[in-house]
Amino acid sequence: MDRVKLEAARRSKPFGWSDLIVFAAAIALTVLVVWGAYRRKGASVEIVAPGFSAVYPLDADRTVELETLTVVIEGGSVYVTAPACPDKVCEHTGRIRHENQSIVCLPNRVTVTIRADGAINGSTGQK
Amino acid sequence: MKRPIAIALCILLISSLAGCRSVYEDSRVVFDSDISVGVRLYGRNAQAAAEEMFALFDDLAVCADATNPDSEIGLFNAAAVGETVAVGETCYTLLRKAETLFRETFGAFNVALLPLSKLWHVDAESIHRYTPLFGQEPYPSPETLPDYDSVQSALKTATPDSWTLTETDGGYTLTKNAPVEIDLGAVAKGWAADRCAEIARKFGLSARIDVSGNLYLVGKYFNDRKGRDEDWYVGVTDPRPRPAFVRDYVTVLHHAGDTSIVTSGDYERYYFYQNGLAVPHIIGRDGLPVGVAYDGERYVNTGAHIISATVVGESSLLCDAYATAVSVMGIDEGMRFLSKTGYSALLLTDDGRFARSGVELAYTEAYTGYKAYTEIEWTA
Repeated sequence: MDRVKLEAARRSKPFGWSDLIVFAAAIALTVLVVWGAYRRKGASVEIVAPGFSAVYPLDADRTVELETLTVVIEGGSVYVTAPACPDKVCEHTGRIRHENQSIVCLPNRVTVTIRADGAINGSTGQK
Repeated sequence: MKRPIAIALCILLISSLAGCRSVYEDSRVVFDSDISVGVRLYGRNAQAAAEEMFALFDDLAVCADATNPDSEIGLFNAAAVGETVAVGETCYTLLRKAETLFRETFGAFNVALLPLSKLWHVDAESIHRYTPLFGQEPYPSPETLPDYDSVQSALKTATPDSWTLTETDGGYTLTKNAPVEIDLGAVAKGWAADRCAEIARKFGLSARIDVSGNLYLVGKYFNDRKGRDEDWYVGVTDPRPRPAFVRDYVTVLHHAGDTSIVTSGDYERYYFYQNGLAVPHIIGRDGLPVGVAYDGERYVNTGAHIISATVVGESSLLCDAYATAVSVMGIDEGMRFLSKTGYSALLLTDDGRFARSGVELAYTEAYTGYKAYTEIEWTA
């Protein structure tokens, strides 16, 4: 090994400013990625229909097509379209977004309910 | 290695670790749409655990799939008196449990009632045709109800004594001693839920497992929105919602986790006979559906039976069996029986009474359905 380079390496500082900047960037990136994995806004909507039951978060736009009607999640609120339904009560309910608000389609036995944080995370008595 | 490359690799490694644990959810129907299985798992390798759970049902189907005449139970049910069929380990385990439970519950839990279920049109196949839907008047109904003597005659051999389960050198055999048909549905789901919970624990996951209404909660609920573990808040389906046919919770149970919760009720599979007599699907010790009595001339509703029995405990198989047994026993005998088992429960009756032991109600001002019932003291 080159003696000159060896001496130079021994005398040089273990950490320089450029190292600190890179480490800071690494830590910042890690924090950002980890925090991003957990950050999700909003409550959820629970849809129950014969043979179907699911909960969706409200923070992502989504369309759920059921046999008898369609549930639209848009901009943090929920509404229903039901072209085949005779009385359209469900459509006329309009948009819901607050905890425990619901849209019900009695003829087709569908209920769409907004659920809040820290609320029910399981249910029993329904197959 | 050059320093910048080393640092870049460190960043990559650290940020990849953030995505290792996540919530995995899946649900499938098995047994030809008869049973639905839903899992919500949290931890590493959740997907592998889920696949192992779903694979369980293939094993179970060989034994207990009632819709398949080539299943072990299917073959037994079709067999003549005196014939023997071979059964596997799963069937052997379930049948032994069923025999024990029959004795333990003094006949209230009985897997040999399939012939009676068929007589009353409440077996899995028939009941689909008759359970009423909203807006469907008049409600569908079978043409006739079975006559009392036929019921009593079928009841005579509707016990575990009508079969002999033997362990042999090569495996297990099941011999039919008298006319009988078995339906293992009541033990199979609980057994499967218990096995799924074991898989979740083996993989080190927290889980919510739902086998057609048999709930098993392993560990805590991981709230991925808040990034933290929470206790379980389980809604109990209202057996008599108003308006009818809408789903609601009569109350909510709070639990710390690592338990099974199973509810048996009269409101999911039933019919109204010619728009009158209510006929639930659970058959009692007298061969009649719970809540139905014979007054010498005709069948009448008694109006005091259990309409919802929620049982909480360590084994889902036992929770399910006890929930069914207690529905047959009625609330008074049911409470005394459950006290001996150490399992917790919430019971609701048709005449507006409710009793609970070892369960904690939550959100009592948001879900107030239970207040319509009068609480009676739990008698040990």
